[in-house]
Amino acid sequence: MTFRTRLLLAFAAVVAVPLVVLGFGVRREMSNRLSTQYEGRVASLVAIIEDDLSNESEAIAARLAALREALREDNRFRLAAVQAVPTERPYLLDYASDAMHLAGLSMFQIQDAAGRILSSGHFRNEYDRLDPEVPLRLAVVGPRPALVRARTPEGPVLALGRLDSLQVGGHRFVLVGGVTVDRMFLTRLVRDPDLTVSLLAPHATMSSDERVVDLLDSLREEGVDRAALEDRLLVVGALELPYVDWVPDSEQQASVLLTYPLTSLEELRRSVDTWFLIAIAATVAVVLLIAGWMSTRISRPIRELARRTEQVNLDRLDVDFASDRRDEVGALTRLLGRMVERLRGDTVRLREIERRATVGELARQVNHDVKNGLMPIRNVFRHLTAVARDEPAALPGVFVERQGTVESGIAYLERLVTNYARLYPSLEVQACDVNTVVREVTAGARRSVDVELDLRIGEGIVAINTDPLVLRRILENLVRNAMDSLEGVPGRVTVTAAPMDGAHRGVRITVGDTGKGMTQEELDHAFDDFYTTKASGTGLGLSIVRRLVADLGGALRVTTAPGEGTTFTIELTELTPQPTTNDRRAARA
Amino acid sequence: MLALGLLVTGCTSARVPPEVAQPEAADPCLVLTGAGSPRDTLRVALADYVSARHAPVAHTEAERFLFRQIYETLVRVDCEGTIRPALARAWRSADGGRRWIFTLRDGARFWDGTPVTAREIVAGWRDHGVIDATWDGVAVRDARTIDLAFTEPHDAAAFASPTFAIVKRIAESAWPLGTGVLWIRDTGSGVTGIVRASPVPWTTGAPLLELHAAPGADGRDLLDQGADLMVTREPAVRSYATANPEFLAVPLPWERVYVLVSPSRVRAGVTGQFARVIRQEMAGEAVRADARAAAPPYWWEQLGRCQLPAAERVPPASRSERVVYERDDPVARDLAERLVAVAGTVDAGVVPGFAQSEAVAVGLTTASFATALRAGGDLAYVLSLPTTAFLPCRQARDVRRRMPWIAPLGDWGLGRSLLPVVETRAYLLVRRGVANLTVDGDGGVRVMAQPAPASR
Repeated sequence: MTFRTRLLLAFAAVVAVPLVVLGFGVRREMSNRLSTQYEGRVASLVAIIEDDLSNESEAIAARLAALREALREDNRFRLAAVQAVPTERPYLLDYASDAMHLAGLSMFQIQDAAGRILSSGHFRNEYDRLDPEVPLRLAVVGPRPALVRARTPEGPVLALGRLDSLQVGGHRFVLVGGVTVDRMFLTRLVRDPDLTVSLLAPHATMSSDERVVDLLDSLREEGVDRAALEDRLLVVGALELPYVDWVPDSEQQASVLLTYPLTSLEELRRSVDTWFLIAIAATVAVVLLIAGWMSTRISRPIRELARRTEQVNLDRLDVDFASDRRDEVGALTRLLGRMVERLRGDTVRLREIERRATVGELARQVNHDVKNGLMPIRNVFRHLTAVARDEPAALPGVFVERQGTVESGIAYLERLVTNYARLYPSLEVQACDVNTVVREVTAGARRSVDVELDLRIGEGIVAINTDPLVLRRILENLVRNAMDSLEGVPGRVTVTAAPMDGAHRGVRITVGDTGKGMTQEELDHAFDDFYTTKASGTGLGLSIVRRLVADLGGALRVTTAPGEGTTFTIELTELTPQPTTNDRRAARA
Repeated sequence: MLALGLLVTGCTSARVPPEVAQPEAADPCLVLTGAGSPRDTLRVALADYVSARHAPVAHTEAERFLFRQIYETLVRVDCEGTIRPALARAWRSADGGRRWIFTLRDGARFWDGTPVTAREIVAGWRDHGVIDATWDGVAVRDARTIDLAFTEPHDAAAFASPTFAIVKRIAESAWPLGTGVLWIRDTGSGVTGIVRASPVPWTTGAPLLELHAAPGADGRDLLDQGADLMVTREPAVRSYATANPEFLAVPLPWERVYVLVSPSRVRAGVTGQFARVIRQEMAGEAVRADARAAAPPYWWEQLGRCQLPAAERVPPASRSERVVYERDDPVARDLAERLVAVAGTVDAGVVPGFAQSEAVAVGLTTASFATALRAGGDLAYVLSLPTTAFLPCRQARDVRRRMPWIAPLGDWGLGRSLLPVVETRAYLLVRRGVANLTVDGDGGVRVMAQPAPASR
């Protein structure tokens, strides 16, 4: 697991977990408080609805009483119901319908003492049917509100019913009247729009909210009890009503339920959940952004430092480890920079030691080879000396005879010197005027009318001890590369030279151009042997430059960007001067 | 078709009895409205709109009243069942009623003044699709004589059917041209609130009829607003008119029979006790209209001679507890409700499905009722049929079309499927002295063109 992942997880855990706990706590507390609040509101509404039902029942009773008095005075009713006059029979059959509408009832029925229907307002053609059960059970209920199941042509209906009776001509007649209990009736009972009034009767289920009807029906089919109903519906109040059916021995209770549908509370919960999730999502997003930014701030310089460190080897000790960060990463970077700087110095010394060792070995080899080359010459000279002493007259002939041997030895020595001179180009460290070298190089550079050569030489530069010839080769390579990078388009090549600050005496030379620049991939291979981006290049220029700079104990850095140009920076410190040939001759003298 | 074409251009060689001119007899069905001078304009209140697209076959009672005034048939049937001349002055039949020869009256003209010829009559029937597969041929003997042949026997009353009304369609008018003494000059769509039927120029004594369509209006309001003539089935309107000395209430013939049909009963083929119980329960006080217990209509007895197809399929099992009726028919509603009320009291063994207390009465629109009736998936249906049928076979086919699952027709086959419960009639309310009228056997009312001598 990467450092960045660990950092992200840590941030998420620290911030999100407390937030989730807080959300659940708020949600639970809110639900409990709302439930308690609605229970209190509905408890009071139960009493109000009970009063409403009682008032409605009393109003029905009053209307039945008025109809009772009207019937008592109605002679046509008396003729039809008591005297059974056939011509008044239609009047009797239609009487209940007219009376029902006049009285504002939706159910009205006149029965004789045997329970035979004489006239029905809500079902005109059910005359002569025996229906004694309803009056009997309403009589048992008494003056309380009761729910009556009444037949109509379109099917049974429920009504809030009352009972009355009268005596006419010695015959007793029963009046059953009521108002329909339907969804509209239940809706009128609702005083709070958030609450739902439902009716659970043995043969019917209705509610002021149709969605609750479906739920109640499904629960009834499942046979669940009241507790399960409360779990599903949050039932907060109930009112029992006597239930009167025309079917004998049927159930005798119906329930009016006041419920607070879970839908409303669920909507509130969903809303809270939604906002809670939004808050968590926003928090996590912010945490991830912050954590990502912080981890990037840490991991990116470490990766960069690792990348630079990976480039370091004995041939690449010029990697820049400069950093202006003030944190631990900056300190580590600078530490690595100093370490590379020490390695660079050590490498120069190591190379010097190696060079000296190599020179010693070479001197022994040269000594051996020269001795081998001198041996025949000395022998010839000893021979000539002996001839001159012993046979002077034969000297010319012997000389001619041995001249080839001498010349051959001399030629061998010459070839040997040439070969050794080619084998090791040794540094000629001497006081070198850097500005002069820079001027000579730029003066001899191939010129083009489109190229502006900008030479900036610092005032404070003095001669430093280095190899002028090597420095010249370095600058010639860099300036030529800079010219080539312009590829024939107008541009500028800038060469600067300035003394370096610091403990060591030295000079910083830069060669910059406004050419095509290099990509990171090109830069990674720029110092490789035989790597070139030019059609006619050998791929050895920068490789030689890097080795020559290393020979001088200096550092070479490159800054480049595609399309913006490239700048090479050479930092040279003063070398220890070596004795020249003249010095050595003088010393020998 | 070849035989039909030959018959049109030639004459048949079958022997036919000699033509006998039908004498004009005194009309026993004349309605005398009392003393007073007949009006030039009569205001007639209609319970429905009328449409020229339906002419000459009426779809409503309002159209029946109007079309009876403006279109003629070859003969007509009076309230006593007597065949009387109309556009034909004489006729004779042969081949047991399968062939009929009619002679048109002299001077008969269409509304545009052109004479009515036998060829025009045949062309009009062809245009209206009257000549169908039940015809064996039709021949034009001369300008005033046509010779008709059928595949099944017909009574003379068949030619009083509006199906055989004489009309001629012209492009200039939505109303096809008739031959009656009243005509409609409107050239619009023919569906308006007020329609005026004017006397044709070559006649005298006929009043102008101004017909006001007022669907859903209280008939008593229409009488109070000046209507002179109205046909009603509302007991309250009849009672109101009777109580008003300005009006005369005349009962029209019993022309509508309400039948009960139950697919389960048809499937089980049960009769007897069920019929007695149901008719006893439903024929009495259940209907708030002028009604009486019904016997099977006479034309059911004549179906044996019709070439009627067999039942298309077995009656479906009842899928509902509905007793279905047409919503706009109060008599059907009363009967359906009474059936629901007594459903639980009928012996369960008599008719499957009827001993249920959960039956409900359901009123449907005309279109929905027709669909439900054709499906036959309900407990029972209450519907009305005409007590008279000029074309019994065609009427029976119509019953079969409405109920493809009905039991075999013919020879009282309808009596095994349809249970007649009650028959009803309408009342003619007419302002006294404004016009003289006559009543046809199917309950249609005609406004007389000339004051007729008192005979009733």
